[in-house]
Amino acid sequence: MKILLRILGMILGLAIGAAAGGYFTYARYAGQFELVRTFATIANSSATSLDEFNQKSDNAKKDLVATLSLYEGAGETPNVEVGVRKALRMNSGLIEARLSVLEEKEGNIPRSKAYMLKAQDDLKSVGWADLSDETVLQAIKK
Amino acid sequence: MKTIRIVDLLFLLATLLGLPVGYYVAHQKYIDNEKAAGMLSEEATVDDFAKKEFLYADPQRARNALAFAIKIHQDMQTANPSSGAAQKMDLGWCYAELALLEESGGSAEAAKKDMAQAVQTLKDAGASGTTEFIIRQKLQPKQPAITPADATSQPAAAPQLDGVQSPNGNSPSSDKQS
Repeated sequence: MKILLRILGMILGLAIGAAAGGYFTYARYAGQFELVRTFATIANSSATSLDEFNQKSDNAKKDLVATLSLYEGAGETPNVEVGVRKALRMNSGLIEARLSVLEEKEGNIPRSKAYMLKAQDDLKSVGWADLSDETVLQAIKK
Repeated sequence: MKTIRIVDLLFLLATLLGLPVGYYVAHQKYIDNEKAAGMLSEEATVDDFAKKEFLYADPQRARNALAFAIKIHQDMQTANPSSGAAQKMDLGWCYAELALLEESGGSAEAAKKDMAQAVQTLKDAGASGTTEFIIRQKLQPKQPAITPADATSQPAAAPQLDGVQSPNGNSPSSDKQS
């Protein structure tokens, strides 16, 4: 009985220790690498939504909106380097351009124009010289 | 009473032993993979940004973006020495594009240095046949205009030169996939 109690105590202790170690390690990592974690999520979301867009899938709009919010959220992360922030802004602009294309296809011209204006605004902020619709659409195709 | 004390002691010892186990498992199962994916994604996003700035932005902004992308590529290679050939290839193309910008800005010395670095980096990445001539050919702008109607269609495959990957062709996550 005593031996059994000791073994149980050891197993329980090991489990609690491992859980605490794992939790604190992950919590520390999550705090230190917030942007890296966001980029890991963006990688999946971006790949899926762009694939949906290229395949002209019905889910494309929903996925692009989700990816856009991830990019915008990442841009608001504190202590992001200026270069990374600009890269995120450019990607937001290109996603808005894609959303503009989808809205136009669905006949929502005002929404399409609004997305395109937002895209052009984002791209202007990162220094794009030619902000014509043609150039923006060409960029999302490349 | 004595039994309980031994149990307590064993429990505490096992808890202490469990802490590094939890640390190890968290890293192995979650953190390392997620961190690697996130860093790759960040690197690809910054790289794609620099390459699009090269095509569409004013030279000064493009130069800043390329210099930043080169810094990020180098930082990532330092953080992860087993960084893949694709990332090295991206770094090589950043140097090449920066060389062309420096050249057009009249900085011949810097351009020459960057071009030499580009050729060497691309060779290190496995594109052994890379020469300055091939790089210049590859970076000639090709920007056919499209209409909204065909913006969702798949892009035509870019011509590939022997052993040289397209400067816009290997991002795992960014807009290069479009």
